[in-house]
Amino acid sequence: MKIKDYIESGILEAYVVGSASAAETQQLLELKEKHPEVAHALNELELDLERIAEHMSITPPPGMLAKIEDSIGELIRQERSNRMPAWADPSTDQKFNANDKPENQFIEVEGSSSHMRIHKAWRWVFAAVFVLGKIFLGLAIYYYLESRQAFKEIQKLEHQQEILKKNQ
Amino acid sequence: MLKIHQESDLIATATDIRLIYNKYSGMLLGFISQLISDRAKAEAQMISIFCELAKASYAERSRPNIASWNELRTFALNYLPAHTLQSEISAHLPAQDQLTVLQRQVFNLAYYQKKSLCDIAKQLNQTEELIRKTLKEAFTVMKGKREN
Repeated sequence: MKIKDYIESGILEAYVVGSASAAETQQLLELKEKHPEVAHALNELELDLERIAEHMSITPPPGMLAKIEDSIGELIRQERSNRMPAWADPSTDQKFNANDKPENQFIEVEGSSSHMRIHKAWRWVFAAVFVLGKIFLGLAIYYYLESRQAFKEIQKLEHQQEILKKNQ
Repeated sequence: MLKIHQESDLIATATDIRLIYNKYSGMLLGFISQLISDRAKAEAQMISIFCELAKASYAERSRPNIASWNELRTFALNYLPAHTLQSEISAHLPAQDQLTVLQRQVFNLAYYQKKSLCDIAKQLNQTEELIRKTLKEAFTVMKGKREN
């Protein structure tokens, strides 16, 4: 069989879109191993398919990724709630024993990341704290200037009072 | 020492899913929209496909096994509920006006419905050989348009 004729036969296109039969797929995978030009043609077709998909792509609405991440977050929460403690898991040999040394009674959890993940709701709390901080700072400066002004007024009045007393 | 891996595995998967989303989400929504005409339903299906992808890779304790658009398309086709899909696909393909009716039909049945050459031949009342040849021609026409 000539490889060029095989590549031109249309079997590669059928395989790439998933329409080839099991026998054709088996034959193609064997030829792909033996002939780099078959592998190259398959890669080209995969890229062609990607370009066709790009031509027909539709930009997802904003917020779509957040929805997906929320759904995956839900999976993480389920995983967290479903996790069974090691001492209660019959598949492990470790049993909780009150007579064990204290250091043996805890599960050691290794945290490889130096980052902390917190709930998104906290950003509003942080924003509120920031805004309130700015307001209080403004008020503090305002009242400081007010009191300083008042203090100067008092000093001025006291000075005038002393002058009046002396004149009397 | 007991190490708890499950949750961190899932978080790593979520990061990989984000990378796949950034690269292929437009293509995937375009693809699903040809199969499900209702945009809201198409978007809901897209979300569930990404979740299925996360679940599948988590179950296998490996990174999502998606290295190309074609792998994501194949994965999506396995998870899209058959009853929601349109039987008639009228995708606006590249070089649409240069493709014959048969070339469009064969490509759409293979690409959007993953039908075998044998099934397409039966459905269109043609020989399998002609269907294979037509699929090849459809690729050539679309590629030619792009290169021009």
